[in-house]
Amino acid sequence: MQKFNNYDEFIEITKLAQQNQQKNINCYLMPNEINELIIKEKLYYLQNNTTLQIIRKHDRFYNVSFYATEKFNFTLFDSNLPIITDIPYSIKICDKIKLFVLSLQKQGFKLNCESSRMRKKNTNIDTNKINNNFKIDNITEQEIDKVYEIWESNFNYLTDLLYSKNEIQEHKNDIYVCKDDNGNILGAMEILLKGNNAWIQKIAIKNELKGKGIGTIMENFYINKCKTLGINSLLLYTINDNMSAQNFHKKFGFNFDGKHNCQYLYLGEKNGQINGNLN
Amino acid sequence: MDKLMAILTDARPDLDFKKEDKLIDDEVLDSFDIITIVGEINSVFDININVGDLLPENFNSAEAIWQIVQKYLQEQ
Repeated sequence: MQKFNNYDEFIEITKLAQQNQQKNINCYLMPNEINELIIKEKLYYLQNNTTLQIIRKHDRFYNVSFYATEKFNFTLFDSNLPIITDIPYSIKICDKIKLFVLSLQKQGFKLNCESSRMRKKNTNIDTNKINNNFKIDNITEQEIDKVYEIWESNFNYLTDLLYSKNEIQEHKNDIYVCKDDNGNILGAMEILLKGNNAWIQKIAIKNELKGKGIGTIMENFYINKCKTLGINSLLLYTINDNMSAQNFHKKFGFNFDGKHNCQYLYLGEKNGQINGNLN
Repeated sequence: MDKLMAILTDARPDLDFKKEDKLIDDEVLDSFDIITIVGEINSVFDININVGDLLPENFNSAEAIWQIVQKYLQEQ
């Protein structure tokens, strides 16, 4: 596995892959994303004759994208961590993508979860639901362990792409906690503000406090924050079979927007290289 | 251009692509939108947009995207 050292190197290697007819692609990163990953030393690659693997390293798993010919040939590079890859489906599912998915499955990837994107355009908020007895603020260093516990007890670390404690520290500017008057943490969420888009992720309440309206307070905080910032496109992903999450967000005006994402998972075989192709 | 507009509108029915001119700069499109749109363009126009052309200035507006598509069509 080799590390990308700069943006030009990324362009050169991926361009070469495309010239070599490696046209099954599930990776289109923009320059700012590439540069950010390279600076953080989280972007790697591995290639053979038919497949270029673009590897984004997380603490608990790898996220891999591919440039591949029809003779897709996945090279296993670390048997210690799971490997996930995303296939974002649009309204049409072209044959090329179907073949690519088939080749992923033939090489040991299994469908791990399907998720749907929900979107809300209207940022009107019912301010009556804001409760001043609770405080929502950015996470502090001392609260990392508590947030980690809440997320671990609410989510699957792979399907929900959960952070390690180090990664929570790294993303602390985007993570918010809901506290009571005594400073006890009741819930946590991640809010990503990206230009005109805002994302809410990993919204979770302590198990024993569910059903008491804390989630509503947190979601209202998010919507209100976006409204204050003039952001009018609010988005989130929910796992398809998580009806309670979907119903929760629908109450705030979120609806499925036609975008669908499939996460494929490879749990690994011990060492070695796996070969195979569509033919 | 009609085919391109259909792809864009399919991907993001909430946007008016005739008016938007900072699709990338303002992060109106997210990374999954970009994957979907580029994948659809490659498939519908039978071209293969190079990673080196995935620059904000080429994807900030429908017109800019159309220029890129035309560049590839002319090279064929």
